[in-house]
Amino acid sequence: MTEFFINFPCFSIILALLASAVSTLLGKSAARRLTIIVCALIFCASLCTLYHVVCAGESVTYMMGHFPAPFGNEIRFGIFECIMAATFSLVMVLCVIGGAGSVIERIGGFRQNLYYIMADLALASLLALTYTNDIFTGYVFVEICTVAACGLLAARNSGKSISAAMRYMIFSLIGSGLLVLGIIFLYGITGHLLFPQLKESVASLWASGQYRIPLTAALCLLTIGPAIKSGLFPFHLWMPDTYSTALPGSAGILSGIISKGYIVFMMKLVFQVFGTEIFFESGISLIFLVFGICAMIFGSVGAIRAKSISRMNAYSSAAQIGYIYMGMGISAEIGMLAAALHIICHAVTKSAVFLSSGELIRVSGGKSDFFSLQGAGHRAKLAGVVFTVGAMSMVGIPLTMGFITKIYFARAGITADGMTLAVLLALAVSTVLNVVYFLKTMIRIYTPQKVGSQEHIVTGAPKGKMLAFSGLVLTVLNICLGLHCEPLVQLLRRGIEMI
Amino acid sequence: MNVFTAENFIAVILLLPLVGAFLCLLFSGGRAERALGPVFALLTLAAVVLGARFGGGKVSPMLFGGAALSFDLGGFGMLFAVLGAFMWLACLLSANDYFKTFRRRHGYGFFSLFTLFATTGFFLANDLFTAFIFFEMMSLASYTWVVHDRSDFAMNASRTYLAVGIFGGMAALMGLFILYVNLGTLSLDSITAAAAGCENRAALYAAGCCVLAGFGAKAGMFPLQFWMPKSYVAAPAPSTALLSGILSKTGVMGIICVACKVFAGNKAFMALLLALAVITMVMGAVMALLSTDLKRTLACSSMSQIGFILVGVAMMCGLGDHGVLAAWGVASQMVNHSLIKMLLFTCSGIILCGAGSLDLNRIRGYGRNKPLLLVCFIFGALAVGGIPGFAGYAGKTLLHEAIVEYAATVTGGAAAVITAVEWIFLISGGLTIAYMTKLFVAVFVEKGPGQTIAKKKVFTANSVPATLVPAAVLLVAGLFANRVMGLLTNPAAEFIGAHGLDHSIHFFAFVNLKGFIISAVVGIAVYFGIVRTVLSRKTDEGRKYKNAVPEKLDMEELFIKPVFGRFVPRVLCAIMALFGENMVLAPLSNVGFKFFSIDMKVLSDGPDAAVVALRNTVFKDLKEPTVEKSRYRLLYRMRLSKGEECARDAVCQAQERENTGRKLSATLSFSLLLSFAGICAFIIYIFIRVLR
Repeated sequence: MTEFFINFPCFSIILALLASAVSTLLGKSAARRLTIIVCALIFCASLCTLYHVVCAGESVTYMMGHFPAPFGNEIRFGIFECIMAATFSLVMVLCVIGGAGSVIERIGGFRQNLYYIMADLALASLLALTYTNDIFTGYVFVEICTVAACGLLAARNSGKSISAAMRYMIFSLIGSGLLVLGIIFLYGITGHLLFPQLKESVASLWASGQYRIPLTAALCLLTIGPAIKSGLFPFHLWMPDTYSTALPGSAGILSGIISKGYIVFMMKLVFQVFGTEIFFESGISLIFLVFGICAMIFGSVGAIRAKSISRMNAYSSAAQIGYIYMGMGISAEIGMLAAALHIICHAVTKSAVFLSSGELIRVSGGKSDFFSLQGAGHRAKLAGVVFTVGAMSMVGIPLTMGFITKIYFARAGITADGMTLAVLLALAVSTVLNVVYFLKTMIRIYTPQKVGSQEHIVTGAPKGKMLAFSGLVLTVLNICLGLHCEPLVQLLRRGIEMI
Repeated sequence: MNVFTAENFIAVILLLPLVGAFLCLLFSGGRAERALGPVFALLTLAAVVLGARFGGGKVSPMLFGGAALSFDLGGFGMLFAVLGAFMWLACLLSANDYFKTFRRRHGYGFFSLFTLFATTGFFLANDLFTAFIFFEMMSLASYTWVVHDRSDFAMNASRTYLAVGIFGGMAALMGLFILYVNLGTLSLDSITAAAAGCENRAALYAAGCCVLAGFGAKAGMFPLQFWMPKSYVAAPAPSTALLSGILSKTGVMGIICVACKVFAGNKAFMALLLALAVITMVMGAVMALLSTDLKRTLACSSMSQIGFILVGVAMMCGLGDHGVLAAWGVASQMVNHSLIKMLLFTCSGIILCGAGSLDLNRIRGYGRNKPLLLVCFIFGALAVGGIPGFAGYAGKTLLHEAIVEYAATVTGGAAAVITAVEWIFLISGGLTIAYMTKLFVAVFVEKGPGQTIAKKKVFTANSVPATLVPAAVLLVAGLFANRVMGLLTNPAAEFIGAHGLDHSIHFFAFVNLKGFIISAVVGIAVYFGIVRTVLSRKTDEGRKYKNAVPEKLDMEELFIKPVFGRFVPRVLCAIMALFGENMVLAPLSNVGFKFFSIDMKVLSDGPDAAVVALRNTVFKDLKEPTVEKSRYRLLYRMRLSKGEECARDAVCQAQERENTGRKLSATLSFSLLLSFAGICAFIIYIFIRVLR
């Protein structure tokens, strides 16, 4: 019975692509409904596939188009891929539902369906990045993802958001340019594009010492590309402008899942192409660790210095990306596990934070500086609570998912040879910095407004129901995972062994 | 299926205050919030008591990250969890009265219940890591109490509180890291054995000092006590009762864990702790005697009482598993002090609400004809003074006996020192009696301006149980000391793995009364010999109390800020100036100067750094900062030697540089350049490493 489920990943990608094509013909609200239904269907399909993979106990390689390797195109999925796909589609559907209000408000009528086309495309490319077993397919969908993300960003049609989208585009193109260069180098010296064959050739080349320079260059380029696109520390400066000008839903999608899609792709590359030994031997892991720690510190400092809530969230995203890379740099087992957990944690938390701060900004007269936000928690009560729980999760307070991942990072840190103290200290310092900026925001949004400054009152009718739904689902999910995370951790542990 | 498991109880105990906190947030500002606080404190109290009764045991609940956190439901910490929940109930009730007169800030309920959550978690923790997590949450959440008033004084006090909280926390964390790396465990069950077998004594001492500094800062131990009087005065009275009654006990608890689990029987650590404890005890008592502000006197008294308790902890540490008497004394004195300070700070809140001031000269005579206030205050005063028949007497007697017991185990010079400590202990007890008499006489006996203040009904149904219950407990515990003590202190003895006591204690025997008599004589002598002659004088309008402590005598202003804000940077300046004079090194030092000035700015602003962010955003100063107070004040001071004009120019340049820098860092070119620098660093490093 469950045999049929192995077709679902392929169907999901095609379904998302089809939905984007169909959306061009539909009206604005029909397009939104179609996107929501498709994302929800894909979420269910991912769960079914996950069920099959867990029962089967091994990963599945699925041949597309009946051409056998090494010519054909393959997708391959285990527990890790299915969990990530489920996370991506769930967060996507919640961001689309929660962001719908602001899309209706801010985007001119006829272009609304274009927004949903981009959302569909983004989900299709994220799924493809997660499932692919072929490096060139990966690259194609990286490019599709870039275009879709730019579309989501520029949708607002204000000068600022377009210039931010341009900035994102420039960085993304540098990233994918380096990625494609890396793929060319690798193809040139190995002649393969499928992961298993690539891994074999890379391992034998590395062992023999042949083509050492081009191979090293390829490895560097293949890791720098996705690192730029996901916004690791020295490459993170596109983030503040981009996230602060985007619509809340888009910011949630971009920060929550699109940047994670590249990281998942890179984790697959590490395990399925380089092999973990080469990854750690070449020193790339150490660079990830150092850049990750720098990101944690500089991102948090940037967030403290930020003058508006949206820029603060953006810098905080940069810091959280740093956590993930730090985990990847520590070790292949528990470090990767912590990183994978944090991918899920950040996707769930940050999308809730972006959505709720969008609502807080809306009730403050559309202004996002901290002064205008004073008392916003009283004007939008639910958004205030969602933001508070999200902030607590980002800080790592027990009972939220953020605490679980912090614990796993600390455990991973203890196993890191020679870097234990650095990792633990970085965790401690960045936690304190997180507390500083989230506490200050919490105090700010719950400080009642001064009498006489009545200009920041609610403008426009509340469009709260859809937002409230996604905010609540994300918050409940966050707390549930914080309360009982063990099953997910066990699954991910098996998933990482299986990659 | 048995639902009364330790795991379920822990979950309920910790979730209740959190749920309450969020409900308070949702209903903030309404009547509901006022009711929600006490209700959830009561529910927590019920859950803790039921948990202690039915669900004892050690667990690592799944709910809190599986094996990451571990709790012990039952035992020593449980005692304080019960006490804490009770105190929260009492304080949140009396807060409802207090905030009829003073402004209640939004979020008071949320942060109070959140602090309850963190404090309960801390007391129930079964390993130092769990304890630390909850300790930090508690420090940060309770910051909102100190800043509650938003006056300049409160802002200043809260800044110090937060800085001490963060730096203390970081010190403790560093200590815990070192302990973990060397011992491989932080669990309270196994740490004693691990510490005994540890080879690296130097690391162990370093870790011990770090942890002692971290927890000692919260307890108010010398030399980290400077934040205490200010913060206690700044916070609203109900919160002060909790700060003094429970939060300072978390620090003591942390010190007990280190002293009795890691350094049990270690003479060197004991000597350090004893010295600091004695200084704290005497200093607090003297400061309390000299102060003329009711609340400040009580705050200094808290410090002194913490000193008494820490002397007991030092004895526990020194006596090791023979320290049952010391353990009993410490446990009972910790509980007593919480209840006493609950009473006394609530009284101070009531007086502040009624009289609008806490200056002894203004409220003199306010307490006359106010029987309920009199009862509350006098119970607290008698108990803190250690008068026989009240709980404080039993606690102090036990501590005194512990000192005598320890004196018997040492010989030579050490014995003389311990005897000296014993005498200081008794004299400090005398000072306690003296300053409490001073307060009592001033407020309740003497006639003065306080009498004319219009009577205002502050005491309502809320505060009455909050004050009378602790008063009754103190009396009962004092009269039936032997029985109550057994109930209360057995967990303490078990905690340090001490042998039981083979004889019962005769609290009212002459040997024990003798200590009290010495204290009482000292107290009366000090009161009549110093307070009534030197510290006050008779005028036409009655007795006037002199504030013998000059305003400027403040350790933070006199020592901490100058050293870390001025002295250290100046030494660096001098070093730099030396290089600057040198012609050969001049070009080099000019380059270094630019980087160095940044470093020094960081250094000088070190204690403020965490708070600067809050100040700049949440509590924004509306005034335009002057050059002297700008972010570049250090640079200004450094250049001042070359003339004021030059210094101002330097600051202007620095500000301009900063503005340019800010604009620059926002440009696309800058972000691209940074990225390329990153890419280059990445590739160069990998190639060097791979090709070598």
